[in-house]
Amino acid sequence: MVYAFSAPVSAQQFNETELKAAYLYNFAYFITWPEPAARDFLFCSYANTPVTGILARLIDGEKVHDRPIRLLIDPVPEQLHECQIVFVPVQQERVLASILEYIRAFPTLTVSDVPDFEQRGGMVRLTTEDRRIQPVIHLQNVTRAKLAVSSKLLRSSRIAE
Amino acid sequence: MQLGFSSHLLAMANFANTSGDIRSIWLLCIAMIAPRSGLADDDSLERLKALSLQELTATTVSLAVKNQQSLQEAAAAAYVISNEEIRRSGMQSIPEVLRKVPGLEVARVDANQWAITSRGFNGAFANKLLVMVDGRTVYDPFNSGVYWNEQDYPLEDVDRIEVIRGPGATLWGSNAVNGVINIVTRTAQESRGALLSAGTSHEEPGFGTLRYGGQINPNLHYRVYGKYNHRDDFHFSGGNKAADDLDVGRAGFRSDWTPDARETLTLQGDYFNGTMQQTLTGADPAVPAMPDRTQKQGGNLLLRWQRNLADGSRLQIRSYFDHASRQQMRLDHRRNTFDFDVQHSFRWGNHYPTWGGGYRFNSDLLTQKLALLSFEPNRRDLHLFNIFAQDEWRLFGDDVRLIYGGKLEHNDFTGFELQPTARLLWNVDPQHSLWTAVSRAVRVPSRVEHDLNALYNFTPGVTANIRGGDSFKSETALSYELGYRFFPNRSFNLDTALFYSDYAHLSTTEPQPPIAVGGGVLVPFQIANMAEGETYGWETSLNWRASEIWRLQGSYSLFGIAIHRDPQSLDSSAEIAEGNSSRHRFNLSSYLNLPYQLELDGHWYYTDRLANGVPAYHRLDLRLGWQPNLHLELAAGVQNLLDNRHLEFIPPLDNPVLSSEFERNYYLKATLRF
Repeated sequence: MVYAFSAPVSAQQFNETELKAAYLYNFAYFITWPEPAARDFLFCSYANTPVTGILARLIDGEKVHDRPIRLLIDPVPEQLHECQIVFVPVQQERVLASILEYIRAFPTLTVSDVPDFEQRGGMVRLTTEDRRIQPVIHLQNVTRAKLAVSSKLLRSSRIAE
Repeated sequence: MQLGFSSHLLAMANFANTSGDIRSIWLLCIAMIAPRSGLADDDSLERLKALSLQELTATTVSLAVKNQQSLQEAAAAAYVISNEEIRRSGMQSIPEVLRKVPGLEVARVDANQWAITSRGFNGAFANKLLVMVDGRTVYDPFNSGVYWNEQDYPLEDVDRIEVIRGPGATLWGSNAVNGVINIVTRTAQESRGALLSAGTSHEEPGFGTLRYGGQINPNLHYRVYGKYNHRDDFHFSGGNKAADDLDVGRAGFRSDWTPDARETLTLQGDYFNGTMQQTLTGADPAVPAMPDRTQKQGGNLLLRWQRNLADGSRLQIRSYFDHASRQQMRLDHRRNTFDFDVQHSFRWGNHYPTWGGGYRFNSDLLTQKLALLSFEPNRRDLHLFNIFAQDEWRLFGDDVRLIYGGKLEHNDFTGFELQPTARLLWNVDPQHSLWTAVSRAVRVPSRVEHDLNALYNFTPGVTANIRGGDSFKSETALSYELGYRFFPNRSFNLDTALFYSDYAHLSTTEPQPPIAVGGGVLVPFQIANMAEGETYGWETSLNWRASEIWRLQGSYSLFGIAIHRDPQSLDSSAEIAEGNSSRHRFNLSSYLNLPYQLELDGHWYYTDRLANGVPAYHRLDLRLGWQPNLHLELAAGVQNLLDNRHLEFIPPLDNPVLSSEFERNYYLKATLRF
């Protein structure tokens, strides 16, 4: 048969879980938070998704602007507002509404792969379309929480009205 | 067809050379022994970390974890019920949850039996709908039906229920004539922790689930569960109590091993044991109804291995063993099934082919308990082979997709059966898409149609002898479908489909010349294929997120059916299927999130009358849920609020089950998660 399609031999294949974790990791560098109260940069996620395990390995030993990154798995509601980024996987959809309610007043970036996340008040949805993962950013929900998105991230994302 | 269970839509990304088929089998062998790289090694972790945002956006997914394509990309009438929709439906069983699917016919026969089909020909063992649990078929070759009261799972661990209305035979094989349902459970990693749920309702005085999910190491997760249900008797229309209770316990496990990101090995199994009752019309006019108790048990063990090969193609090998045993007053039925399937998907330029094959072995033993009912032979081994190939050809920059292929099957009753399909999807723009399809599907003879030998005493001195036979052929259907989807924005979508199906060789029961036997008359009836028919319909559903806290779903379906006997046919009940499906059906669901972590949900279902004597009915369900924290969930609700009870289905003459009525049902349920 013929070489109908070619790609760099070195091209590494990643699965959906890995790419979602990589996006989450990147968000730490392309979002600006109001001046921090705590020393550590806190990621929050849930044990029921494989994304959490990959994320844990990606952030291991890493820093954001000299702040060590920590990962909090299965945060209780009272801890949620301490998170800089909360990932609510589709497996935790049942508590999505109350998570968003708890952190409404705080500068926490909310990320999810729930299909209508931005319509429910969420900030960044990770969508899988045609075998690619892309962030969909709801700017109004982001700025309401006093967060700023870098133009570089905006260029790689879709903007939801 | 493109929804999740089609592993053919797998995600294939970058490849250099796909020189095809035989080579891939060798690759498989090599892959199994060769050392592999994946995220397990730090190297690829570093590469993942180093990807720029731009590169991340451009990277294609190598292995779609869920295989869940967006609805817009399916060239079929597809629908998915999510875990969250199951939770908020208030339903406590899989068959009841299916009421939510637009166009699906779901009717309660009695307290523990359902008649469920898609696009017509409904019955307590509707024979044109293929049902699978994690890829394991639960369609029984004995009577070409599904024992719905044996299909259960902790609903909290059901990830989704995928439904395709219309034929799906090219990928899933015979009997996927009018639809395919796949019940997909969560992976072990997605169901970690302890879960305890218990509840009580008018219908089910006690039900409970206990599940624990844990990890042995970061790549190996498992869960185990146990579940118990007791369902109480319903009542007949006259007010008398039916004998149709159910008591079932079940237990199971699932483990998922992901040695690296490109490979998963799943081992899962379930076992159930219980009793159910049904009420039968008495053979003796002096005893019009008699209870019939069945002792049931069954189990299965399934192994599935998926791997992305080095050339970017994907391979899946699946094998399972399934056992069922039913001890009834009239018959003891034991069946063992062994199944082995291989599926390979790859990319070749703009083509995304999937091909594979499988073998299934069915062995049963039917022990005669009444002189009047026997099977010849009473023990039978059946072998089923299949090969299939399907290609998705993407044209005009992926906006047009032509999907074509076929499955060739060989079964012991009718020999070779070919089931081809051709589908075309056109994504007109981001807001509109159109699809159309032509497919052929067959329903192969069941053990009953081939080997039954039953005697019925019509009147004193006149006995009917119903016989199956080797001359019974497969029923066939040729279906034409047209679909349209509209996505004006993220908050609203509309999905609609039109279909027309042409059926041939439909089953009839033909009376033969009577024979004088002793002092009476014996009338032989031969199961034959002497009818044909057409169905047509329109199915439409919409989904609207009205606000951050409120979501609405609605659907409407119109259905029509006509069955025609051959001129030579003498079967007066050949057209009976015309009376078992309703012309109009709609439902409306509302999901509302209130302050204080409260949820208020309402579901309204309407089913038009059935011509065989079931009046139209409305059903309204309300649910109030409260999740004060991550660990506790309380729910209270009412089902069928609008009437005390109503009839939903009357089994046809050949099924002696007496139907009872679905009652108003209050429930309370508590769920604890740690």
